[in-house]
Amino acid sequence: MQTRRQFLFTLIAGLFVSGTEASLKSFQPSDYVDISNKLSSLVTNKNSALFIGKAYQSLPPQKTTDIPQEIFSLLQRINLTQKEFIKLEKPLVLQKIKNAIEQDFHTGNVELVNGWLLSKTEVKLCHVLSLIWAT
Amino acid sequence: MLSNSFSIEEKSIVEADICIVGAGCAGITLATELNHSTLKVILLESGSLEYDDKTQSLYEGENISINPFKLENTRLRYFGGSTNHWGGMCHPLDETDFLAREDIPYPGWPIRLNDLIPYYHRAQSICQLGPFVYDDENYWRQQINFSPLPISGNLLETAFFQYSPPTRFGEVYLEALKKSTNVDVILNANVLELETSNDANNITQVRVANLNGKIFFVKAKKFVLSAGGLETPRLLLLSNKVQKNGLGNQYDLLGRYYMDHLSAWGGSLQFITDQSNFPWYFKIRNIVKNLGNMEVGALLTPTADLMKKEGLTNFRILLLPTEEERGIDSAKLITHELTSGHIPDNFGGHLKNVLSELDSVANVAYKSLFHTNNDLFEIHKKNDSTAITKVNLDLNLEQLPNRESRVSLSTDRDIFDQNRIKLDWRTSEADNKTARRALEIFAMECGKYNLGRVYIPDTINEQNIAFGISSHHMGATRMASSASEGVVDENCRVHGIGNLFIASSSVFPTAGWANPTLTITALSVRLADHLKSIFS
Repeated sequence: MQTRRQFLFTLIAGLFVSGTEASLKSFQPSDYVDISNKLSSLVTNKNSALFIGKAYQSLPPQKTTDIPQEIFSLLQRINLTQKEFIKLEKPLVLQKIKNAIEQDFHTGNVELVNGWLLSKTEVKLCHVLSLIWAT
Repeated sequence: MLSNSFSIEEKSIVEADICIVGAGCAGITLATELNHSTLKVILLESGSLEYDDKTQSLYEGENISINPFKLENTRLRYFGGSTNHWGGMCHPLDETDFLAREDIPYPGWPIRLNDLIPYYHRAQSICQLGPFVYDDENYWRQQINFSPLPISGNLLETAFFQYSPPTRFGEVYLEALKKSTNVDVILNANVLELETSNDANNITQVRVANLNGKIFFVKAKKFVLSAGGLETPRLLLLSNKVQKNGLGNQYDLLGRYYMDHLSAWGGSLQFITDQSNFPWYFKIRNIVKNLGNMEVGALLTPTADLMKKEGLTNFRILLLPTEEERGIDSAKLITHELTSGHIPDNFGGHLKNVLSELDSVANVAYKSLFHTNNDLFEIHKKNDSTAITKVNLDLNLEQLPNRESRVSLSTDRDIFDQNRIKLDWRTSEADNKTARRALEIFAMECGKYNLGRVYIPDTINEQNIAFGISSHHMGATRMASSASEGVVDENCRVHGIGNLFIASSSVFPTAGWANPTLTITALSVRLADHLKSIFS
């Protein structure tokens, strides 16, 4: 059972990745592994991320389960390319994510997930992770 | 002087300059303000000095509202009225509450905040409060080292409320009224009817009965109804011998527009940042030692711009401590009250808080006793150094005036064979909208400034929100400058009746977010001055 506290840990621990002009087709298997590993390393509470990600997945309308597509979408939100994301140091990635989350709240890019009003960036992060960990 | 209806002769007539019906906050304030004047005043109280079931049962009624609460549970019928159980939270109405609002299709008050300010000042001491300073952030910065929540202030702003002890009007003002030579308090005196002249332009006398069946009459030059927000319209509706729809009801407004403050448990806020930087928002009672131990708290309300821009009614969000923090606060309160020689109000509730969080309370006590930072007991919730503090959100909002929300007479009858009250309290889609937006806006602000994340319960998104009650009975004899828009005028005189006044929250045409007692008191002081000026 997920507690609210655990749930929030994920959000605070904050998140991840990147890309602007990268295309899905440019995804190489090695990039995918690197990105997935780095994304996972950014989150301190796996259960919370899974909880949010799965909850989001179950909400209408139907969500894609295409991991590369979701990673690409996430990287776009934080304005990083795949390579930038891989190269960038963890604190800088976290700062990028934090900025994107705050911007979401300023612009109304929010999502209600199981009662929690969350930024679309943090929801997307959890969704990506839940998909990655499910494979 | 204090007397009892049992000692009054059957069918006798008691005479006075002013007859006040109902000894709650409004009636006692009026009587106290008129004490030592040259006017002979009679204050009629249905109950005695103590609660009794038989008298209280007169408050029973029919409730066909969306929330079928028991009417007799929301008010008290003995000397002091509902101040015998009020919580003491005080704040004046906001300036915007008095104004006509574009998105609210009803006129505002015929008076303005400035008209009430002098009376609010006087009401402060009557309610045993501190200075009349509320939303001046700089003042509180100096007095209590206040730190505001890190939000922008464009949408939500901080309001400060003061706690009355709470003043039990029946206890605090009894002795002065007992000693009075011009005010006579008559207990066990139930007003059954206001009798009028043939043209119904004046009240001639009131018919009064006690539980033994004895009837007597009070004749006066002026009458004031101060029987509470439900009983006051009931008495006007019952007084229908000449005006068949009841007194002051030429335009079918009497009993309509009934409002309460809508209560919704609005979820919770999980802090990301350190909540200890702004404790004033979520402590039960903050005691300000350098202001005579007055108690204050802080909450969030919408800015006037936000209300105007989005067409929202007023609201307030109170951040309530979690059970753990409640236990510690309750322990402090109990200690403070007991060492002051008082038994705290809601002692059982506070004790429950303490018992349910014994570990936390014991740790605080231990640290205080031994001047240590080490906990006596290990509390699992605090094991993690990154633990986040949670507060519950208590959302309370102004109800949009609704013509279909009304008080009328039931076919059921009480022991005096009088029609009981029937309440059909209704909320509207506008109320749902305000509740949802209030929480969304708060959640967005918390996200923008990285304060935390907000949980919004599903109940807020239901088509018809099941609002809870606040037992603030307002609006059923609303104030307006013309009879076609309200029951009483700007001096609280019933339109069309020269000598009948109302002192009650029933005259509020809009409710604001603030609890009503301070405003009822201020209006009562103002009415007392008005009555004195008429007689002089």
